[in-house]
Amino acid sequence: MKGFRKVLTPFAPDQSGAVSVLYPLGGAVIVVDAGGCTGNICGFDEPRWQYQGAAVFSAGLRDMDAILGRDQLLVEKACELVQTVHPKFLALVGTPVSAVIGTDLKSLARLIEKKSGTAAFAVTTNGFQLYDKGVEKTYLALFRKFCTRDSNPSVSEKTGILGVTPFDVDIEQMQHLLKANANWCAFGFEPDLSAFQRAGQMQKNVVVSPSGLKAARWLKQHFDVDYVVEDSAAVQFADSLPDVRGKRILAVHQQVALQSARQVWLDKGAASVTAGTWFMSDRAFRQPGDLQFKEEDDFEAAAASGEYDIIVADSVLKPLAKKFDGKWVDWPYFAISGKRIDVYE
Amino acid sequence: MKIGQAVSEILAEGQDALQSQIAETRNLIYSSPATLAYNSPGAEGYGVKRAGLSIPGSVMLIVSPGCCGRNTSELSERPEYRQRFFYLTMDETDLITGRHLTKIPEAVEEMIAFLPEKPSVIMICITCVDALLGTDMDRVCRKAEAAAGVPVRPCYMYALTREGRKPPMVHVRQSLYDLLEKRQRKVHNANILGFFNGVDQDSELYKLLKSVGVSQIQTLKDCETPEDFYAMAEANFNLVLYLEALPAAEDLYKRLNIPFIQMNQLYQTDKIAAQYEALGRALGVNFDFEADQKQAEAVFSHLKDTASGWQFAVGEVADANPFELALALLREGLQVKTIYGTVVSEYWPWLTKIAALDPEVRIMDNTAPEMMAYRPDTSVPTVAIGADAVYYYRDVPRTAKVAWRNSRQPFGFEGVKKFVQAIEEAIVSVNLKKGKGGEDEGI
Repeated sequence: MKGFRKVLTPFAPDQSGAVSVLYPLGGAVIVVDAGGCTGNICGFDEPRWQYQGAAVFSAGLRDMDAILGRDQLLVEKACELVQTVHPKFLALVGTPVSAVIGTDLKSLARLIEKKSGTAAFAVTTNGFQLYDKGVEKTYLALFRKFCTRDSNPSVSEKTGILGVTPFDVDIEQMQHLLKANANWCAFGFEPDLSAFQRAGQMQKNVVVSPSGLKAARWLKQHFDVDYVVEDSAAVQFADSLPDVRGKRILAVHQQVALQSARQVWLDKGAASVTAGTWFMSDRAFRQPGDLQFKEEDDFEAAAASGEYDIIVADSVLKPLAKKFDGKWVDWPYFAISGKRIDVYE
Repeated sequence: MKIGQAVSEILAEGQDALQSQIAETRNLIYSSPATLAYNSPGAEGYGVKRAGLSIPGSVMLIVSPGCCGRNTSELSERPEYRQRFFYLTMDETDLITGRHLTKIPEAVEEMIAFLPEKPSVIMICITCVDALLGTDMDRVCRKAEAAAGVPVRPCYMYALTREGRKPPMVHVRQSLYDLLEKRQRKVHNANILGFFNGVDQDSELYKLLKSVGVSQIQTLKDCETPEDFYAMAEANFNLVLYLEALPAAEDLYKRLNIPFIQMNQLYQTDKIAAQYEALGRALGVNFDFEADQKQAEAVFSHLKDTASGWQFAVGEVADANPFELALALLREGLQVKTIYGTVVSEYWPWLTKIAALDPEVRIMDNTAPEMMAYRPDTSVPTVAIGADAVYYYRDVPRTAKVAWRNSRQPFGFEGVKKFVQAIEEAIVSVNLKKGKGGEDEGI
């Protein structure tokens, strides 16, 4: 049945994706909810919350706010917040509550900016979509807000990385990589808001997940910054898989990781590689036969089809592959399972 | 109220300056790692999701946008919750058409077909979205019940009504106890209502009740089978130990004629004694708790020596009300420096008593934006009580850390004894570490 799940728990939602980009940037994030969404984001989807404080707030909406539409109250609360914590910016992040009561987050952000004098913008997430949509919207909101022609006079030696969030990568591993490569700049992953201002100076961008594609195209269109699409961690992972020669593989992850892994496996002689995802799928990178899952039944049917010798996917999907008698290889994906990747395991 | 105000300053502003417990919040709420439970009652402890599955053999269908069920991933991993959570994930079209509601009976039938055994109860958990849509869940549940052939009950995970007269944690208790049907009451039976994680069975409460012939004492936590739960309808009376269970107890009185008596989790020994006396009067018996009271008083007095030179920081993420607990410590002559908690007008009597003993006690609201930059006073060795206080003092050397969150709720004089024991052990551990030259490390 559409929307019904017996085995899988819900995947990371768009509002969590939005906060994952905003989290380290030194702004104040107001999740326009009653409290539960903020708790879900901080207590579950945002691993940095336990050790790296950030100004994440719940709007604390109550039923009377919904009934009376007391938007002015939220504006006042936000302006008071600016006086208290002096954030670099103020971001309103939408939730199902703001979606149902039809809050005009963009207008509210304009009002807050005018009244408080601090840059404010809205990310129109609604909790119904998945994390990658939230990441995509947030990148665009940040670039549109901060990346101007004036702030980008010349080209630098830096390479921008788009699509890196705690959902897609291991945080520690990524931090090591960034330390080792001084010319890399991972947007929304490092505590550097100015990177968004200087995004037009990048020599090129590397897009490691589909959530970064729209922003890469926007930067190409406005600042002529070229981009490549590749997930090197996925290449590394795919390379570690032995005995793929002649095998038919079904792999489940995000599209850029799948695309990068597919190339490795095909080069190593795999008979076929089918990419399956519940997340964004860009037409430019889709191959014939690739699978776009919507329900858990979709994956169950694919696993039971007898068309694959190897399934490479997060282990939480395994109970849905009872009729699959080939080889199972775990490929952790936090956005699906909610389990952290332990690269040292 | 300003952050870090002295209790005397709060009193000077008057009771009218304080909000009521049931009044809605006036500020943005800082999502502090010290108090996740405030924002996400389901994330730790017993929120609506865990509470809704208190009846053995029950399962839950969460009908919501995906975001509301996300953190259930963690809960579903626990053996006791495996195959007990199901989801009917809404999309934007559902929001507009309300068609998700028509799918619930079919989803319930699929759950039953999937499970190896028929569940005892199916709880339908809905969230803010359906609250705003005005969904008639009673009607939806009746339809689902007809399709499923097992009881189907609603529970509401609405943070929107957190401070209302019937917040989610009150309603979920009413939903659960609503399943009890009239039975012959038994004179030796009683229920303890209030805490989903049960009550410490070492508490003298059990001993005292048994001494007057109440031999069968039941809590939701201790029900092993659905029949254990349904047998709660045989109780002669209900003891309500936590305020949120009061409306459920009132319902049981109206529906099944089971009277109820309210008691509170307290740490002031004379108040605990007064509660037992009142309970005795209500039951028409005399409880003999003198020895328990003396032991509790003795351990408090011993603590005064052990904790000499230490100050206390009392948090709200603990098995206690921080204001009552702070007052209990002050009355024993101990030095309380800080209380982490939200002051509401209902606490006025405690505030006045605290101020009379030490007007300089500072009150910090965990959810205030200013708490982002908060650093505690490190000049004096401190006993940090509560998970929130422990969080603030996590890197502070010479801190005795007592989260005071127990698998079962402490109660009465035994609760006081175990509380003091936990503090003394923490202080001894810090002193030992200091003796070994480790005073620069947090304990």
